[in-house]
Amino acid sequence: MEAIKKHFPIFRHQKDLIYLDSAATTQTPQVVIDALTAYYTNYRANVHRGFYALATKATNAYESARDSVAHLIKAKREEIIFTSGTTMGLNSLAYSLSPRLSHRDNVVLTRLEHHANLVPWQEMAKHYGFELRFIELKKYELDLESAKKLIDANTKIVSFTLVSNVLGNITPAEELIRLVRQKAPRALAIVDAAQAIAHLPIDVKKLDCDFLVFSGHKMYGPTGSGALYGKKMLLDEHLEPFFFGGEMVRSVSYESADWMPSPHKFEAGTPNIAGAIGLGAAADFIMKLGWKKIQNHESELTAHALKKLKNEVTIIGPVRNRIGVIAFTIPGVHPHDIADILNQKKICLRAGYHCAEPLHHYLNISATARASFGIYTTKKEIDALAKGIQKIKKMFL
Amino acid sequence: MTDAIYHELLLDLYKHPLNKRVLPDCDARQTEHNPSCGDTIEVCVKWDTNNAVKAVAWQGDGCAVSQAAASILTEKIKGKKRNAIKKISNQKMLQLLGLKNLNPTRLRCATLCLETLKKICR
Repeated sequence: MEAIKKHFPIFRHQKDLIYLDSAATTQTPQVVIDALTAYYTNYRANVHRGFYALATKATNAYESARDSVAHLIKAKREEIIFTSGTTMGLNSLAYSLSPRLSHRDNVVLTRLEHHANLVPWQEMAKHYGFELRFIELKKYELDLESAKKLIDANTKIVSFTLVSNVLGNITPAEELIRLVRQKAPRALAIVDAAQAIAHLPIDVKKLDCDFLVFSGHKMYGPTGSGALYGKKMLLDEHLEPFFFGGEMVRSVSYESADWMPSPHKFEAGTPNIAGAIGLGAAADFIMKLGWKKIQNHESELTAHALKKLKNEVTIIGPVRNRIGVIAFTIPGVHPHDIADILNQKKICLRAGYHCAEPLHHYLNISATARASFGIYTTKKEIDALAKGIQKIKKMFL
Repeated sequence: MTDAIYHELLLDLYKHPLNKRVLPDCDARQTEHNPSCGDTIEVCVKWDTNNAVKAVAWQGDGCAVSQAAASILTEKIKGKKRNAIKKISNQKMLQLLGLKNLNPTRLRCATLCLETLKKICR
């Protein structure tokens, strides 16, 4: 996998960089940078507007990126809405779906959620009066027994993460969605795939989710890009546009307007054209590498890291059914100090709550350090992390 | 050692803090929290008749920088008047810690106790 590092120019520019923060944002491969540069230098024009050849080229590239993203999660192209990322995707859904809810209804989340899949629902609950419920954890895993108790006929939305950005565990999404269909046939199932998208093959049809959101910047794509998948029937008939303006309308009078078909009715204004094209290039990059190669490498890395670290630190998360996002603590050393000292060895990892503060309180831990891997991560880098941790323990304990 | 932030004095204070205890029947108590890393500091002060610090103590947990800062600062302000405490600058705090050029995130750790104390002195 050393060969894969060569695709990422940052490792040429930053000598000896050990980047273990891919859960926060991944690095960018040259093909994605090239896609962004090509748009800006060779064929920049607005999309869906111009009649000249350059505009056609830009429109074709933008729409072909939609094909690539659809292909990545096995969706239809018209089921993909470009967004600025997971946060925008989840906020759009919360704003659009919540006005149909009342004080009799409930929205079910889990104890694992990132702030992006918690705070929008909290805010909407204040306005529309619905109840928020949280599926409990059992040994870091989602407890489906708790889900059975919480999901009832008044559940209108179940929104949950496919992979925890702290614990690294893969949630039993298919079982949970099956449960939603049994207990609350009219509820909508939303999957936050931000942390899963670069690490697991996703098949939205097999999952049977109604909506699924993710960010480009966590899958080797540009920052400020992302996608919202919705079942075609829901996008066509159930979901109202979130933003209004140019591009999303078919015809407009001074009194009213009517909408373009989906997905265009959800993409008001000039979109992040370069970002979408870059996101498409990132999806192609992942598909070209192939899931087998990605998953083999990353599961080997994760096993190696768990083995190397388990005697040095307290790992916060399960051993099995997980990806390479490893949160840990060292009793007596604050995570900020861990990250700061490792930084002096050019080892980048995150410390704090990782945008999941309630989960830390729920687990009764103050903060954690987190190492997370990408396809460019090597065993050698994990060994350097283990060595750095030994040094910290010598300093502090 | 290359670890400029983690010099011996700082690590020593982290391991053996000063004034870290409960102060019963204090006159003022204030807790501050640094949400980005979860550092928490509670400072308790007892004033004498001249409006100067008669006794001070702190509690909390967090990173080495925030904890060492609490030890040094509470030591420094003993006997000092409210106005003198209000005048302590962030720069002075860093000087007391023997640190230079902290990045903005760590600067918040270094000044958490000072902020807490200034709220007490308001």
